[in-house]
Amino acid sequence: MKLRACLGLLLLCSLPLVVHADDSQTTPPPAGDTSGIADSIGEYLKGQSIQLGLSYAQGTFKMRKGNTSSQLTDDGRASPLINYTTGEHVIGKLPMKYGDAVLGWDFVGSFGEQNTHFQLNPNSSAVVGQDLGSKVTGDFLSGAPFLYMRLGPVYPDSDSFWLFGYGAGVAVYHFSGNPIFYTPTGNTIVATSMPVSTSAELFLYQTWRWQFHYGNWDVLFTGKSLSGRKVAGYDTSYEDYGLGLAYTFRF
Amino acid sequence: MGNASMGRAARGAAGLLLGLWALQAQAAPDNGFGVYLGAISSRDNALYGNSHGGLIGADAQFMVNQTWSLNPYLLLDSESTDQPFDINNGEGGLQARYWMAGSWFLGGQFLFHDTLLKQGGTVSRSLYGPGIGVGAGWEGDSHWSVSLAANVFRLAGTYGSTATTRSEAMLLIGYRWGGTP
Repeated sequence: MKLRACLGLLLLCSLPLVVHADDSQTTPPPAGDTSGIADSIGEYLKGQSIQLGLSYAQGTFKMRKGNTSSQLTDDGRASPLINYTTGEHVIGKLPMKYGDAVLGWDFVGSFGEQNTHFQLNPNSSAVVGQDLGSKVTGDFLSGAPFLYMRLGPVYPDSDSFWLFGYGAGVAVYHFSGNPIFYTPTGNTIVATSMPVSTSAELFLYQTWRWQFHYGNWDVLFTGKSLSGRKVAGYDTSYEDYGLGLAYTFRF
Repeated sequence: MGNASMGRAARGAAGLLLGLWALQAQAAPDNGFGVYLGAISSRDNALYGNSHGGLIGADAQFMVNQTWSLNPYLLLDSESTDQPFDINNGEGGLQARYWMAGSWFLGGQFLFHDTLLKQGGTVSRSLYGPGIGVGAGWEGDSHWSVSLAANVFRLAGTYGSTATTRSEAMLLIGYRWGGTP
């Protein structure tokens, strides 16, 4: 407690010096200097954050057993972006002309909804389904450690960085619906509708993110995959790819 | 036909780059956003043969030091093929550039792609995965750039669908909003 008070006082006292130093800095710091710009991004990412936004995403649900399979998609929809991220843990740092290239990790929790009601079938497009009366709906909560590389800032006096990373963890996922399964038999394809459902179960969760951050705003290309589990004997997975814009609240 | 076109494109680009050698400036490259327009030619050994088209792209350049930079980029293209279907291809990658004589660079990139095969407005296949490539170019004091890139990747779908290899070459003309804005 005493240590915290001392640190708080120290930070409070040093604030005017920081402001003064910032005002007087008219040229970018030399290469390898991580005391100014680099630290500002690092400091920014130290805290936890909640990211809220909107994305245009496409989700695809897949079940397969042998040569019998079913795929449903939502044909793309506006989808909320809700992510929680812990503070950054730096694994390694490479000083750059401005800022750093950082290999780091954090922990990301997210919520996702599934509303796939367009059937992908032998007569349809590979990515745009048809309304055949079949559908599968569900939702999931996921959590994963997320390993990434970030570069930044782009401009010496801006709060901007680029980030690409991959995370693997678990998701609690449940769904229900009545997909149509297709089984090729000789020259014909047999279509069978069958109800499927599962209570909340753990699935392997994988995510990819390509992100550009400027100010408190982020442009994100994201991929999410739930897989690694059989439901009613079928290998079951759900994939979701989206492009979104989000505002980040840090605390 | 495809090989001949790719050869002509490569020779033209090489000539352009040699021409720019004469305009070489010693300005140091800097951070910034870049946008690109260009042409692409690709070849595949089983699926469609040859393709040609146009592309748009964008990147952000992060100078590591005076001789190295890291450039994450995005690229979209539209191509027509020898077959009765067209291709839309998207790529996102990271290119490492080694800068020589200030304005010239050699690069290598790692990328992910999603390649859509379209027939009559309907996407018949979506093939995606990783790829690698090399690049070279010139970026001048005027912030304009000319570069060549060649990539290779597998065209593979899900559920064990057959995979083929695609090689592509592209010529890009770009402009960068660089340095301190």
